[in-house]
Amino acid sequence: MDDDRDAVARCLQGDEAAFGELFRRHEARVLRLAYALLGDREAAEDAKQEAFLAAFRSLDRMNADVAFSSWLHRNLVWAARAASRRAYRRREVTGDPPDRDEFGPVFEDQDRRAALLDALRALPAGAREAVVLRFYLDLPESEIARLLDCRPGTVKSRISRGLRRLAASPALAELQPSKEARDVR
Amino acid sequence: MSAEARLAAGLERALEPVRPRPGAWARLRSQLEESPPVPLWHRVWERGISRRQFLGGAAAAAAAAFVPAPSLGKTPALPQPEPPPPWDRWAPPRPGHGSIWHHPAAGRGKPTNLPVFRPPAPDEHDLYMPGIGFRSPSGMASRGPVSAAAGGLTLTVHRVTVLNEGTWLDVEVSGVVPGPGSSRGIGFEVTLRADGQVHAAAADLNRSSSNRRDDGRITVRTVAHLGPLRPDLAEVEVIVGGEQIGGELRALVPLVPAVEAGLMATRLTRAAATVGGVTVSVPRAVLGTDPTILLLEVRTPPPHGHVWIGARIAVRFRGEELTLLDADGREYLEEPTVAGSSHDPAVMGDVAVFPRLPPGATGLRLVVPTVTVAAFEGEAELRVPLAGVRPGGAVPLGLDLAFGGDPLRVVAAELWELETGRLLTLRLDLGPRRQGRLLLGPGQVLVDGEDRGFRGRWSGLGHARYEMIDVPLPPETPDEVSITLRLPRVEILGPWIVPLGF
Repeated sequence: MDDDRDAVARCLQGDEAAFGELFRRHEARVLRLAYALLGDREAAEDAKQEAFLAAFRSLDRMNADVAFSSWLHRNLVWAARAASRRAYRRREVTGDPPDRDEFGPVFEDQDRRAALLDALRALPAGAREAVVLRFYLDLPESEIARLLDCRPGTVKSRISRGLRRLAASPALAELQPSKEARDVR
Repeated sequence: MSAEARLAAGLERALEPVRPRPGAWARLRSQLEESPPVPLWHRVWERGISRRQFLGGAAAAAAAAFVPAPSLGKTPALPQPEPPPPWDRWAPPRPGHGSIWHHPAAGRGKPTNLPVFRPPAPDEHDLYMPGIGFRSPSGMASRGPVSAAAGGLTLTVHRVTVLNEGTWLDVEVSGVVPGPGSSRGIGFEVTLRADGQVHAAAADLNRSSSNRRDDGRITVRTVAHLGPLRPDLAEVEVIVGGEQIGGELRALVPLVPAVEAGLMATRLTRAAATVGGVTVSVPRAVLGTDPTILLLEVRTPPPHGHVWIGARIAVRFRGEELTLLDADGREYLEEPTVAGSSHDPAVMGDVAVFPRLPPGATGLRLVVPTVTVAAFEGEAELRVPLAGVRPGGAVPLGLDLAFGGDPLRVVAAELWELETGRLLTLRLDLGPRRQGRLLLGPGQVLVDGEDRGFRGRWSGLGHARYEMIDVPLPPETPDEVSITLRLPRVEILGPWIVPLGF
């Protein structure tokens, strides 16, 4: 995005307002991505902060051909992985059940939303990352492979495995490809 | 709608209510300011230097900012005089202290033996000979080290290069027992027998170094030079002898065409960067090999002087190393090299050695943190009254002098009586870094107009900034001596970022 490139250039020249501009532009989407990966509001906020911090601190090393959003998403994936490890250790110690937070206004489709997020949380971490990056951020597989430091074939298999698992969830049966869709294929 | 599209829409719907909490930007900004502040970091980001290099520079800049220039401010109270180490032999330094001996220059008082800058002519130096430097590709050279041992000593001939422009020998002797005068360097004579004739080689003091083992024995390495020999020699004999070696060591060294023994270089005619009038360029490079080699040149505006990269000739401390950065932000640190062995005497330049770069490393930039200049112009003179001063006594001076454009304070002088004669110790206050310049001390000290050599001493790790200098006095000490400080050594802060174009 040209606006991002301009803001990044201004950041590198010491324009503090440009950091704020990049933050505000990407904050909401990054928070949602973090929430999808972690399933916990507090952990998502922390991961978002970590991702922005890491992205800003290493801005000089960002390849000029890479979009700032990609750089940020990569940092978020790493921050989310670190947060997952911390949360896993915490749960091991306390034995607490996974967090089920409340957020936002009452939502008419709340059950379906909760079912989808629950099913996402049940996925293995690698599959969850691939599915969210593919279907929430709408990134191509090649881009996801770069973000996750793996081969495009690995991304493909993780997405496929994730979709199969999601479809096996009773609450998400409607995600099964429709008969018409199968026929068209 | 496909299953995938439904999932995407479902995720969008499910995540839409997740909204940022107010105040997030303020929290992030405070974190950025705490550790460490982004408004400072950006200044180094755009220049491409590493966090480690930044921290070193930031500390120096902070020191300079807090002490106003040009006044040096108040010098701390003097410590009690402490006898200096022996003058004629090496002694273990106190922990956290360092010293450098400066031997008298030839010509008794005039720095006539200083190297003169000579940029390489076009079409020269297309071959890199490890240990020798960049050379023309015609001639013969040895492939690798050849060793011979006798009497507890080992001679290793790292490289012999016989080219049209001259002959170079990179020679090392290990196991030497130091004797009196070893502080002034372990010398040995290098000769070469070829075609039944013996040729004497001249050791290059600028490219000699020694290391001491725990058992006190010394390893000495030097590059010696002699004129051109027959360019198709298949074998030479290297002979090393001398008083401190106590005999002769010989090694037969087979030679092959130089192109088979060296590394082909690439010319990088446009790779240069200028900061504050000082230009660092990389005219030659050996890339795609193990190791990666860069030939560096430094040009300074007048007054000219002896120039080198880093704070000390031939040695770069941790944190002063050169760095290669690639387009992906990967950082490759310079590999340490033996003092002098990687220097190319044909130019007033330097050679930097890096590890082999991975195949995907492109968009390379060389980062040079500092350059040091010992200017030929700029002297400071002082007179030290010694009448009535007994050995072990001190003379408070508090003299503020201008030394090559930088302020310097000579705080006190101490007189010492050692086995080797009288020694005068001057305590200096060199002040903080000012406008990117850090005065390191003199490169030459004259006593009543005579260069008798001197020793610079400092405490703390890192910079060799002379807090004390020891000068041997003539046998009949007069009531007053004139001390002339010459060749002001100033470290100039960069960084220079040289795009290599690869």
